[in-house]
Amino acid sequence: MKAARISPLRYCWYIVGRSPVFMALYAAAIIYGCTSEWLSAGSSDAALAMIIVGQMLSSSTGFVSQASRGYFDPLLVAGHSRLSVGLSLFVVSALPGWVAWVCVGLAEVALQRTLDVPAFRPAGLVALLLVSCVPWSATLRSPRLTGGLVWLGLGILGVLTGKVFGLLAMAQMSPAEIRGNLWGAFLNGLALPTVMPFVKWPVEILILFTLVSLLTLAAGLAYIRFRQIPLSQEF
Amino acid sequence: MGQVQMAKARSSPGEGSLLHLAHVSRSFGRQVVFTDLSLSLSAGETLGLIGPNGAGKTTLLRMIVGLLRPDAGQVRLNGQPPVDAMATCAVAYFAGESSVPPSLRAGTWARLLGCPDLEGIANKPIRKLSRGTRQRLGLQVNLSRPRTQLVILDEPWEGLDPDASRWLRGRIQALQGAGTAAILSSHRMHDLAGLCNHYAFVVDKRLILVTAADIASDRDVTGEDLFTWFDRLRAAG
Repeated sequence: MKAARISPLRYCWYIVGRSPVFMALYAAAIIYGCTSEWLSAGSSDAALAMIIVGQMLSSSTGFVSQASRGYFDPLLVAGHSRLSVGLSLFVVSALPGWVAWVCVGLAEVALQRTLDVPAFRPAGLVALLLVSCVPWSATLRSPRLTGGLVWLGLGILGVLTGKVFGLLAMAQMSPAEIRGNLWGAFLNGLALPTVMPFVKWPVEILILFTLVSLLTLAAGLAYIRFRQIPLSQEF
Repeated sequence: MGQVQMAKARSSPGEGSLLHLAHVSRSFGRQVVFTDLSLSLSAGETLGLIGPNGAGKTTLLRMIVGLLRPDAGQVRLNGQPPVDAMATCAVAYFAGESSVPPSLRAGTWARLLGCPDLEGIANKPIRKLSRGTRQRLGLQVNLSRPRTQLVILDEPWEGLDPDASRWLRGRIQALQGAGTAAILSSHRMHDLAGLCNHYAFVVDKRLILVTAADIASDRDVTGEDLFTWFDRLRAAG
């Protein structure tokens, strides 16, 4: 079977996944996280926040600009479904950030001698899922980095206008206190995902963030599955 | 005009063919690309697709390989819709040098697509290759796959130097000898002349099929023959 000859994961990795800038950023985050943790257990939060920001940008790989040049033609003509191409594209877009996250998380586990570390707590994993799915889907029709840059810009705007300071205060609150302003907390979390892993979220908000992530991912995959994209030299 | 009508009559799709298009239409928004287009192609046959820029040749080829869907009508490859057929039918499709990703090295891209090592340019970044070299790289990679049943090349001579043009012609003839069907799109008639069993002219959003024997029964078709037929068909509307 011809289709077996081209691996969609490998192909997408070479076409969109490899970015020396993000590789360097994640390597720096891993080194910084491990060193911080080694010097003082429980102090790798900044490295995790760095990975969150990196993931917002590096998962914003885009699709239409590459597809309209025909870069994915070899995969599709080899018999791979659009869905498998979309999933492969998502995985290679998110993979570098996931690897960096797991590395810092393992350093936390090893040096804090517990599995209850920010990287592997539900809030941390949900934050990573959110910043993997939303920018990826949001950028499918736009140039690379667009989704992440717009999200970061809105977050910075929120901070500068004083609208999301609540989230910083939320880091000190209990889940019961946060539950008092559920939607406000949810919107604050969306605005500043870098702080998300360090907030003690009530379970319903974590479920909401997970749903938002999965629905956004499904919308992105459906777009790739059903959208017909002519070559840029066509009409 | 009698010849034209005869050619149209032959454009009805045949049974048991490798590729079969029946009454296919396609638009982009309000812009009609072509309407009620039918053709069929069997193993070992070569079709030259001729038309001006913007006539819809690229759109037609991308429908045949399942990258675009027709608005109406049917496309069948080995009796199946193209999207399903691609898993079992070995098709080589090359859309031109702009579809070769510039960020990779030539050898990396070739290896990803299962092509053996390239001589000379393997370590060069694709973005640093000339247009003609990128075109030849794309053709070489796509035409090197074994047991290809259908080759579809969109403007394959674009940017090629004389040596590469000669190489391409020889490669296509070798594939024809091996029983591979081919569709070659070009607006450069001299390149297609003498290489195809059938010629399809895209005129006024319609496709008119003519066999090589209709054009020149006792000799090879020349570029001038194709120009003459194209002008005649266009004048006939």
